[in-house]
Amino acid sequence: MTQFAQRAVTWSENWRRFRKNKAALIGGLIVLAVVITAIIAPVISPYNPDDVVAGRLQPPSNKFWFGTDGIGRDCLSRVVWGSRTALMVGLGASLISVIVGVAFGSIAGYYGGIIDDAMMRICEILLVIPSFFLYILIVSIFRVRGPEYIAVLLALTGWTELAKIVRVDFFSLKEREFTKAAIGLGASDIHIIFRYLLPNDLAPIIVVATMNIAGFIIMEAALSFIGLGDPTACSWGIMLSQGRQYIGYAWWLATFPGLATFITAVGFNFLGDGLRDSLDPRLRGTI
Amino acid sequence: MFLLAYLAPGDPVTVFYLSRIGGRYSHAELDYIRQMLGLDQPIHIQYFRWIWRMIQGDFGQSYIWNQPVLPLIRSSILNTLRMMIPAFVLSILFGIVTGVISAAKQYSKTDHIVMASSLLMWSMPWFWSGLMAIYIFSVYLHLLPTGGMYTFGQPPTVVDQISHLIMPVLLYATSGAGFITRLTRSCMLEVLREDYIMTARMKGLKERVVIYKHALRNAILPVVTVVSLYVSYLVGGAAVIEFVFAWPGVGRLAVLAATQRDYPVVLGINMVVATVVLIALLIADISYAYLDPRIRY
Repeated sequence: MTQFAQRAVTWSENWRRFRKNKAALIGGLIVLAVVITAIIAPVISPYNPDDVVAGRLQPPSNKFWFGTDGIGRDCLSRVVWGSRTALMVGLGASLISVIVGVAFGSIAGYYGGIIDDAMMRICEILLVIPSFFLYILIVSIFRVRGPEYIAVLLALTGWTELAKIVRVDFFSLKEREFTKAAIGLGASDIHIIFRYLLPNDLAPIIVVATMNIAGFIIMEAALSFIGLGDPTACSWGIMLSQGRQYIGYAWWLATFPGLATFITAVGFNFLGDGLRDSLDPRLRGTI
Repeated sequence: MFLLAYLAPGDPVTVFYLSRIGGRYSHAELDYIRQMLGLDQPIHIQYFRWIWRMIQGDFGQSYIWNQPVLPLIRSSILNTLRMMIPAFVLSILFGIVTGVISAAKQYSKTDHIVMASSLLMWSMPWFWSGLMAIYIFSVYLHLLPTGGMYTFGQPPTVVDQISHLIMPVLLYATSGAGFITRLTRSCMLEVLREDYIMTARMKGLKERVVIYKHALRNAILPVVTVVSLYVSYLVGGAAVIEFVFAWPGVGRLAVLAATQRDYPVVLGINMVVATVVLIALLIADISYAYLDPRIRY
């Protein structure tokens, strides 16, 4: 934890290092492609994703690149529109988890003592509950099935890692001279946290948040896949779960949305991994 | 005591759940059912009653299967373990070996390939790869059964069961292995920087001995810690795999129960799984003492 001084690098230096990392660049390009796809979905999708445009279970052809699903909707259009859902869940959940996790971690790390002890116990409890079974429980009880609810659920159990990282870093940042100077000058706690501590801890937050996006997207697909999602939503997981029913004779139904999920997750993970290498060499190779 | 505190997590949810259930049925049959199930009592009484019964091993009746919850869970958890344990062992072995190799040759080509492929493995939606595997090996090549534990209408044999196990175990193992590889690598790199590694090399020991005897022994400890913390996450992964391969395990039971609103079962599973995870943590705690002689209880 004594290598913090090395972190004082400029953003252009970061960008240079990032560019040299091929995997990261590929990841960044994939993410960019997915984001663009989601934005221009209405333009590039050949059909309305909810319209029945052809006979059911048509194999891929020139007219329907990815084939049609069980009730005759175009799979390509659904995959394209599904990117919106996936990104919404991934980015939304990640954003919420950053807010909760950073707030939690900074309070615990800044104040320390009993507050820290109590807060860390909460963290540990959350980490130990099998969150997957908790989702099942919550989803089945409250009947919340839409992707937006799933995103919130995922975020509310997925922030602990961030909280831990921020807390540990705050412990050492708190002892640095500039923080001591700020305290000596009589700066308020909030001012110190936002002006002195958080800016110095951005790198790991960004990295973990990026990699969390991939995890959240996969989890959303998994939950939808096992039948806990909203069956009317246009999401990759829902498509996969429908594809499962026809796996014996319609391979395209499950293949393409799964591939989309996989590629998107790879994109975010590679991007996060590359960001770690360029932003924060200290973290290199850790999860 | 520390461990008991862990057990608390299910509880707020439980309270909520018990308060909701009355509202759930709220139209015609209600009062009778409420009385029968004791749901006309205030929440806190219900809650303590539930806890009390649970301590005695009574998780209530399943609404759907119409039998006590505990035996249901017990048999399915055994099935889950039958799949999880070989998968877990495989992924740990594989993960540690690849992690060590890639740490020993940091920044080499091997290292880059291992790191990239472990990230790929980690990004794999494992339920999707399961579907693809079913399609390729079962539907297309007719090599392996699509799912379940035994072939219907045939006497259960060992070979039969193994053939049913291959796909879920391998898939589950790969999803965990990517994670463990990265973890092992980073822990190894940390340890390799230590002075005693330098000393060992200075003594003229073979690189193999340094890596496996001096470094790995010290690196394994944080690996055990983190893996044990992620057991709860891994259990969730197993649930999805079970669902894909129709393996009659606890995850599949939970999903079926959840989609049919069989709350006692879902709740019971949550408690049992939380307990199992706690036991796993305890085992991890104890194994520290074995792995690290500095720790004594």
